[in-house]
Amino acid sequence: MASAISIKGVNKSFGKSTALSGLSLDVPEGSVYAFLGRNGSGKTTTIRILLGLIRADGGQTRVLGCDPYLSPEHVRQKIGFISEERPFYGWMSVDETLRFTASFYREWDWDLVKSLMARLGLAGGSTVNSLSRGMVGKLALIASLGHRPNLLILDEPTAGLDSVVRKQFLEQMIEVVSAGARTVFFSSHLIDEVESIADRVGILHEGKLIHEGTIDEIKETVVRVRALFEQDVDVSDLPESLWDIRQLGREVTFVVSGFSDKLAQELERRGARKVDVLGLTLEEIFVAQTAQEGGSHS
Amino acid sequence: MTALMWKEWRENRLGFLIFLASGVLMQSSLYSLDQKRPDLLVCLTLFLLAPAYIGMVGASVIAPEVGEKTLAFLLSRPMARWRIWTAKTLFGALLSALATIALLAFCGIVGPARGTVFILPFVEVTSAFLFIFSSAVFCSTLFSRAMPGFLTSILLVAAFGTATYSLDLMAFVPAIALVGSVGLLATSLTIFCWGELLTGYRQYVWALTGLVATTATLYCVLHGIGLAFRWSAAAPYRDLVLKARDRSVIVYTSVDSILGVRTQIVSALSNHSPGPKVVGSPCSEMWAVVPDGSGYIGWNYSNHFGLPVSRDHDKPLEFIPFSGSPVRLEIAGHPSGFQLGYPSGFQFSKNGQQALFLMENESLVTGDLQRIRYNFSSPGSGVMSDPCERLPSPSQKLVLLDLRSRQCETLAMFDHEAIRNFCWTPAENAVRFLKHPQPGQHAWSVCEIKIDGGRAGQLSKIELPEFEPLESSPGRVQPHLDSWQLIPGRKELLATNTKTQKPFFLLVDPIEKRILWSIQSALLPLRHVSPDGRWGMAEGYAPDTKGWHHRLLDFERGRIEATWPESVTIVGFSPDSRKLSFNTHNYVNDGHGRGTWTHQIHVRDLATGTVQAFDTDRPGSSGGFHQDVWWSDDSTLMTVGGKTTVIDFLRLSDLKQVR
Repeated sequence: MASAISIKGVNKSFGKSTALSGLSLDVPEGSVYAFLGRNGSGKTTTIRILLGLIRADGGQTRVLGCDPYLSPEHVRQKIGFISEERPFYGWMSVDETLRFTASFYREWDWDLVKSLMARLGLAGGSTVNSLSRGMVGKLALIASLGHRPNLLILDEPTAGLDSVVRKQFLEQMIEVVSAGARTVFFSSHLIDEVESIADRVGILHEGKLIHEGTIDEIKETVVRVRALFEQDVDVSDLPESLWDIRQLGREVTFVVSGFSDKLAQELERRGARKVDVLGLTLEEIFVAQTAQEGGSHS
Repeated sequence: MTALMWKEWRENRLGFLIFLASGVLMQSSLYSLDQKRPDLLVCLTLFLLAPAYIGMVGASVIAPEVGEKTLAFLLSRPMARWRIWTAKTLFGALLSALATIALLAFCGIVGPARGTVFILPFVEVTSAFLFIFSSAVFCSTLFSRAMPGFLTSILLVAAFGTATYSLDLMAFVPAIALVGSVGLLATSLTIFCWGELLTGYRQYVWALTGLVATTATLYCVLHGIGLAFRWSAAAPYRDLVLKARDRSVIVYTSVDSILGVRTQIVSALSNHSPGPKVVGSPCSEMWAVVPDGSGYIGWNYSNHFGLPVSRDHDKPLEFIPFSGSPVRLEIAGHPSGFQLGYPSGFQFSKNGQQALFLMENESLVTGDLQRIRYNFSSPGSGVMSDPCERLPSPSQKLVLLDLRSRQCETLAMFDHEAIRNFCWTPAENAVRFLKHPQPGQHAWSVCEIKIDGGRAGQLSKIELPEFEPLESSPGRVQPHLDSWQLIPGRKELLATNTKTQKPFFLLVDPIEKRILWSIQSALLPLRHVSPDGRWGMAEGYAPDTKGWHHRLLDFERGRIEATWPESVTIVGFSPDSRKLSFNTHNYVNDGHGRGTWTHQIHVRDLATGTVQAFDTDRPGSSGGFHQDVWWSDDSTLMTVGGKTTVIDFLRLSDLKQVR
């Protein structure tokens, strides 16, 4: 399957601060890709590179087959984008906002826009300032779909919405997006909204992609291990990368990506009497793997 | 782009209407206070409101989009950054122009000062407004809110104005403002397009670098223009050619313009040098060449770019040598040391160390500017003055310049044009001048101020009385307004009597109080006097022919020696007072409807009255000189071409004599 987004070895720094470090990912056409990461992990920087707003320091970026920095206008004609801030002009009415947005695109499907407005319950005469955050989110969704984009990029689309509105918004978004069979790339740090809609997930941590795959693949790979030892033992020097290491007496638990026989043998060699492998939810995986920054090794 | 402009208009229309309403209210308020100068009210309204509005529009181009985070909306659309910037900036510029024009139109057509004719320096005003707008747009890309950008742009404009004024570049405001505006807009565009790469202090460092680079470029360009101008010599301006007494150097002033500013440069031409050489400052005005030909007295009004300054009132009078640095001539009594009026009529003593000159129109300068008024309430000894009540400072001063001490001393000063003419006495131990009576009085007087050791001494004054008529005169000769004239090198005075039916020209001795001789002719004041004071040339009207003629007067014999028609151009006396030169221009018709102009120089031997004609049309000459021929020495003439920049030295012995 062709890739709607292809990123290979992309680096990006702002002064001494590294935002992205060797980031590589592929988003197949027609898929819904959830881009997970904590605040400051590099999600927005990645999206800005995808939109051609900034240039990567190194690596290769292709969006719908084009370099977004070299052909930003061409790429953006085919992309719908909703940002976390939903930066609309408060004084404009909904109709004016849509007309203003439409003026930037070569093609604009007013029938689709009107049907979406009717379906989402958005009145054209209301000014943006008078809309609730949920309604502004709906406006952003409609404005991003009016030119029938091949790729929809959503940067924290539900940020700032309460849980009820968020759920409602997500349901409507899934409904609208799935009707078009288009690729969706959306970033979030809210795991529960990802599990219900994403085909594939990428977890970004400190500028590096630490996991990528379908949700099931990730759940199968990343597990929590609970080992009971005969005596006190230190497991931090194990060759595998371990996350979220906790020690309670002689019982040690940790999260590991890809539990292997080799690791089981090593634990036994160190005196483990019993080793249990436990499944994790996506949220648990995310928290375990991205909480390292806080220093929670034990 | 159209939609973007629509958005800009929607965002700015309220401010636009407020601006117009403010203009109306302001003008109405001002008009109710003072109705005498409606044009001033229009200008005041324009210059107070328009810059503020233009600054606010410029500062609102980018900054509010950043502050309200709507810039992300625009940047994520399929539109290049430079197009977004261009559309917004262009709209801001158009709106500013429209608002200014609308305000002016309102003021001129609808407002309370309607019908007022006001003349604005269009180029200067437009360029200044452009700079205000550009600096505001520039600041708008640095700040996330309009107001800080607006306030910073005010500082920038103030810095620009201060720098321009202190560097004496006010005359170049349009050019500098244009270059500065382009630089600021280019910097703004660059920051906007590449701003993502610049964060925090780097953005400011980069912007500052851009500004410094723009300023440095501007400096280099201006300095380059100044240097280029220094080494160019334009065509001589005929009326401004002066020469040293020993005829070794001719100094002439050329008029040219640089960046639209009228500028004068002074060039020296020696009869030994291969070509003209720009001397002194490239932007200077020459008043007199010192007798030894080592330099000239003038104004130096170039700044350190080599370009002319624009502050007319701050030009110091200087001795500008042809080699070396200019020396300022101190004028006693001036608190600023700057010359305020316009010097004229330099007359050097025979030893070349002292000069007399008139300083005129100081009162006009100070009266206009209301800037410098100096106190002459206690003038030094020997200084003659009428009460200066009507004007804040003298209108006319007679000044003695001592070149050795570089000091100027005021000999006499008046609040009206009292001094008709002045000269050294034959012994050069005193200065004589004819004093016009004060308004309402009629008595002319001849005044003499002794010069002792380069300083003004005792003053003597002779009021001109009625003179006993000559037997040949038809009536008594009365001194009349505009009828007296001193003769350099002679003690006698010339006078005309126009009150009789046939006007008379008279030579009178003011001390003996008698008429020496009279000639029945109306003559204008003398144009030329021979160096020995015996001969004079004057133009006059001849009633018999009803035409104007040049007349050669012999003061010793009291008679008209020769008369030439007006078409003859009288040039001058040779240094030894033995010869007089004049030019003729004749059109020779070949009888077939075609003809040619011939130009000849004529030299009259004053002792014998014989005249020789010389043909000057020769290859390589100035090609039809116009009027300007001077004696270089007793045997050499100099001509300045009327069509070319060539200055010829013509030896009489080399010229072809015409029979």
